[in-house]
Amino acid sequence: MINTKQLTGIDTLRIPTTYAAWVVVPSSQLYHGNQQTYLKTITDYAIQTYGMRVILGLHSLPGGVNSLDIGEALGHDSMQLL
Amino acid sequence: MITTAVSPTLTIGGSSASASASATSGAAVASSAPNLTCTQVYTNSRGVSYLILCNTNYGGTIISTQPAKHKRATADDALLNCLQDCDYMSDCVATSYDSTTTTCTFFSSVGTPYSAESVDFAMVDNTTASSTGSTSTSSSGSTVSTAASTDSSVSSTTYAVAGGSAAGQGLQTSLLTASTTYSTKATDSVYTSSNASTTVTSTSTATTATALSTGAYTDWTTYVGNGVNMGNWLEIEQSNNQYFWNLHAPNASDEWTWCETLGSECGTVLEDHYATAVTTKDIDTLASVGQCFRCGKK
Repeated sequence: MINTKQLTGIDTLRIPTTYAAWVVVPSSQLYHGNQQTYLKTITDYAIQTYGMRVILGLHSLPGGVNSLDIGEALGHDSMQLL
Repeated sequence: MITTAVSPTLTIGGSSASASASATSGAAVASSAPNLTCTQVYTNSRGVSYLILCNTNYGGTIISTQPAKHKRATADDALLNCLQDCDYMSDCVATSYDSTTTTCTFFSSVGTPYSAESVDFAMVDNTTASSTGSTSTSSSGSTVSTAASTDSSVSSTTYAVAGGSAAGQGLQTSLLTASTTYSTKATDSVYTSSNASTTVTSTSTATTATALSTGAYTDWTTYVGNGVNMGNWLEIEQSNNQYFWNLHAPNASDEWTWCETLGSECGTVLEDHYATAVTTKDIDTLASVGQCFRCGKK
């Protein structure tokens, strides 16, 4: 009657990034490096090993989204490619 | 008190107590949710099945008896709450709600049943046949990559690259096909959307796993997942890890200024951070969270 009880582990990852992970914006101070490589290593592993779903977050846009620190930088609100 | 129904169907509301209910088969019971039905198997969103018994109590080993959290809850709600708490207790195999004392009692083992007017009982049930389903997904685009879901109890999962490049320039460009064998009855749920709230309809006899056709996207309007946010990895904020932040540029207001302050060191520091802050071992840990609380125990 009573059997082992199993719960599902984490099956979904949300991973926030800045735009600098995806594009090079010369005038930006945000660092563009090997984010995509690290991201792919982790997500490939999560997907292929555990069938996880991955939600990528884009936290900012060049020029700033909303004047917040996470929109690019405090006070940046132009949302414009420079 | 929980209603008794002839139909082997139960409906459970989603997160909203006022969710409308729907059912999928036969003489379905349609009533205001949440609603547990006597003698039926209730499978929650975490995939744990409980046999619901009304006006019944059991002997056994009691872990604890605690006041029900929601004083105004109906008996239906109350047992559901007891059951959710049981879910998170490592050795809980059954729980009861006593409407006289408004308490939840949690059991680590269950003995002999006896009639008890004011008590409803829920015990973990894995007796029904395991279901088999195939699930496949695609992942494409730059914003979302998806893969087939696997049950925690999956004994064998195989993936094969079934297609070439998917649309977009996302990270994951191959189509993944997964054949998954489920060894619990957790997957007989059908999720449907109803008005503003989500209605979860579960039948006690269905054996079809939630399946996506090959190349299908995950339907995020109905997908139910256990997620974690991996903040402060590829995007950093002072509030997320003050130690790390302050080690390098304590006065920086944002990542822009933080990196500007570090100058040419920024790349070196961040590359090291990217490589070490999240590893595949962390993914292993996340995947195992909550699993196999009672593996090997009857």
